[in-house]
Amino acid sequence: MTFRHPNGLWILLAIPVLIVLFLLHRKYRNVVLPSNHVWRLLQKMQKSSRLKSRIWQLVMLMLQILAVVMLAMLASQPLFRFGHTEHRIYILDTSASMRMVDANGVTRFDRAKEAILNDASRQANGSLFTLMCTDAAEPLVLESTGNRTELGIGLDGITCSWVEQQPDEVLTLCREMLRSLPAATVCFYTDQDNNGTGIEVINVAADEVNAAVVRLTETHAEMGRRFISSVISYSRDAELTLALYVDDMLLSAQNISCPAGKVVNVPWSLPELAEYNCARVWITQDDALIEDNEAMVFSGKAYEAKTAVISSTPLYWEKAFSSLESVPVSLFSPGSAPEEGYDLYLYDNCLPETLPADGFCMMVNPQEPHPETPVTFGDIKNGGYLSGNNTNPMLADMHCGSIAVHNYRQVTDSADAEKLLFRSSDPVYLRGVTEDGRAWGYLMFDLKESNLPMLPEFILMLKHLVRDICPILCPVSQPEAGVSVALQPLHNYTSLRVTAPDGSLMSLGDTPVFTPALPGLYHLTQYAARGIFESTVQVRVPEAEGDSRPHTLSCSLPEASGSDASEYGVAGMSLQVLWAALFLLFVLTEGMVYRHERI
Amino acid sequence: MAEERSPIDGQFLRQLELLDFQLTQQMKGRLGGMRMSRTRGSSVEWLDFQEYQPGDDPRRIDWNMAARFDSYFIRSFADETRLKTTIYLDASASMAAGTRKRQCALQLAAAFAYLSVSHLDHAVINLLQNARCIPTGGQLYDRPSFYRAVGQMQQIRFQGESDLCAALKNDPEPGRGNGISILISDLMTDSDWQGALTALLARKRQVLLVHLLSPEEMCPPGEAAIRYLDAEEEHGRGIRKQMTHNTQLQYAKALNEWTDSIDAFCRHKGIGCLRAKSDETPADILLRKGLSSGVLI
Repeated sequence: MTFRHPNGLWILLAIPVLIVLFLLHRKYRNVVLPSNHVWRLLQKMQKSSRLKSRIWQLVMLMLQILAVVMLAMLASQPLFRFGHTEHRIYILDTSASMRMVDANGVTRFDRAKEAILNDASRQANGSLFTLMCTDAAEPLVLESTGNRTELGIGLDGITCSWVEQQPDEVLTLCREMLRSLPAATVCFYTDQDNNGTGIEVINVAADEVNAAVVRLTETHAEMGRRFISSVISYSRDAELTLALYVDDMLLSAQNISCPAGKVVNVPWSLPELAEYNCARVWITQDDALIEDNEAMVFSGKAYEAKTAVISSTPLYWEKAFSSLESVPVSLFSPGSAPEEGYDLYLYDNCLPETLPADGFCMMVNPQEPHPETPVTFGDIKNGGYLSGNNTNPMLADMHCGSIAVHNYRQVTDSADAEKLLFRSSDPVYLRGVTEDGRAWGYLMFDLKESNLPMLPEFILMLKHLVRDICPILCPVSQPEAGVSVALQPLHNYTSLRVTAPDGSLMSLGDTPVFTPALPGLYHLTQYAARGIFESTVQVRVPEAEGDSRPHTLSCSLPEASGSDASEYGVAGMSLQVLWAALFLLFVLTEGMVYRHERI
Repeated sequence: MAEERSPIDGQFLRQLELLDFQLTQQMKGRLGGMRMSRTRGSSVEWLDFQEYQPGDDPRRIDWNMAARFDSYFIRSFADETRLKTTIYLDASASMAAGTRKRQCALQLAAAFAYLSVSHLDHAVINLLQNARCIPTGGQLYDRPSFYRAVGQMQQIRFQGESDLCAALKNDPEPGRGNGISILISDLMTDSDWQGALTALLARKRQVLLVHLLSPEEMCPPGEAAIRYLDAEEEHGRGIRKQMTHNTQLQYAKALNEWTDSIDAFCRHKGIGCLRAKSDETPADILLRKGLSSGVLI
């Protein structure tokens, strides 16, 4: 007999308490009476009742003990097995850490499969097997079969994933199954230690050697480039050799001592390196999980935002844009403005005839509203210091209160526009999108009559504007397998395609959310009106899954909650309710034993 | 302690002088008392006429009767006698336990003795202890002898058990038809108390039972688990009880049945019965209960 909740057996400690109380009640205090004559008369009259009273006390004590035992059984939920057959529910951990290999080159995953087959072969004929895995999408693999061949086929069909997995979902499903199969045994084959209850955990992890490059980042350098790689050796100290490849050329190598469990930061200085596309740090030794032995960093060169400045005085615009990377600027006079081919059109003191269809049209100090924009202008009003909300990404790091304007043109109606900067309550920097998808923006004051061009906020404002128009496609430099990343495509993109390391092609469609399943290099292709743009991102093994050491599994078969609680009866009862029931029962029987005594 | 030294006070004694025993029969006592006797004597209390016989005292001839009936009659008068009040005090250990039980028993014995002495009777106080009847204080004829006896009563030790029947048989001066026997006891004995009272009645004496109980006996103290030890049993195991309301009711019921049986026995045998509670004063017991029950007048 086993117990689903062995902690419930603690209730049995109440039995000695009951017996002690029973004996304490038998401790008599001496009182001297002149005579016990009347007591003796009473005993003669009711001699049979005394025996009944004693038997009654003993019976009630037995009932109390029986009630406590029943409560303990209800709380601990014993699992009786009749005969030798039983139902075993195998749960196979399919998280990435199960890919670790031992000295013989066998993965934990394969060892777990073999252990399951061995366990099944030891069970008596007629036993039933259910096979589950920790893949939340499809946890139930095989349900209630007595055929071991089917079990083997089911095991062969399970693949080990590359993502971090939590067993909560499969344990919830287990709980549902245990409702109909209360005597079943749950065996969890994993590489994690268990301190939960209700599960028999078989740890297949061994003492493998595993090192990983958990991160590679580029840092600021006075000359050339400087990289920092973070290296860790799980489970034991290791002497590692690291190699740095830049654009597939070996440029440097280092030997390091890596103590167990501690992250070691290894710097790489390349003063002569100017431009690069991809830098890669690689641990040259093979270990239990080679997929996490390298990390890449891409130069992060942003998508070029081609900018057209239409102004009669474009020099300070040109100077300002020159401090931004990847922003090629073309200057035009107001009469010769281009109609397409740019990401940003900047009209200074003039207006386009029509809003361009392929880029963002920024109009500075317009005398009148463009007819295609849903705004109306008012009078020119005296200026002052501006205000704005710094939490808006378009104004990040800007000190808006330092910007002062001499005067500005009031916007009287701008219903759908996003307002960014204000003078009092009047918006002076606003933007929006027309119904046919053309983006526009207004800066409602003359730059020459403000201090903005002399402030660093001017550069920041242009930088945010350019990054908003042409964002970096993948905002996370080194995403983890299994973790979704929201991509930031161009606003007028037509489609996104992702090429996985295994060569599979996936189209993201209208929802640019990218969930990598495998570690490795992913090629992202963006199709926009101006052309096709490609970028590359390295997806890493999740750091928790790369750890070869056995983790502590803190989960157990989840307790029922909410409306399910009533369905599980005592299994779903909290310990407080059990104690309250026990106390009530004790009080009731206590009263029956000791208060309703018959002489 | 003051009460221990003086078991009976002067005011109460003066009140006692106004009381007397309710005698249900005329008895033959010694000469010189105030009680009417069954025998003819020389008191002023006219009793009857008798025809003159030779040898009678001619001074007692009623000449008016002689003139009327032409025959001689002499007047006979009742004799006045002095009765003997024998007070049997149960001196077992149970009479010393409980609230004021010993003191109350001594006070009652003294009060009955004084009641006799004040009416020119004489009294004897006998202690009943185990199977012995021990006279104490000597014969009480007058107040000095009474006060002397009261002084000696303080030395009385209540101990052991009492076999009432056997002790009464061992009375050195049991007397017969000459007074009142008063038994002061709690009757909490396994001996034959009915036999003891019957033996007293067999002596042709008027019998009065003073049944003295302590509050502890009427309502045993304690809560929860109690072992009641008997004061008369030094090494007894006692009686173990879980004292509950129900238990108290059962005890009260048993006590009532027992006292009812005593009352019924006394009523059947013509024995006066006075039930007293030891936390009551002797004045309460005698002046109130004694008068209301008809034992005293």
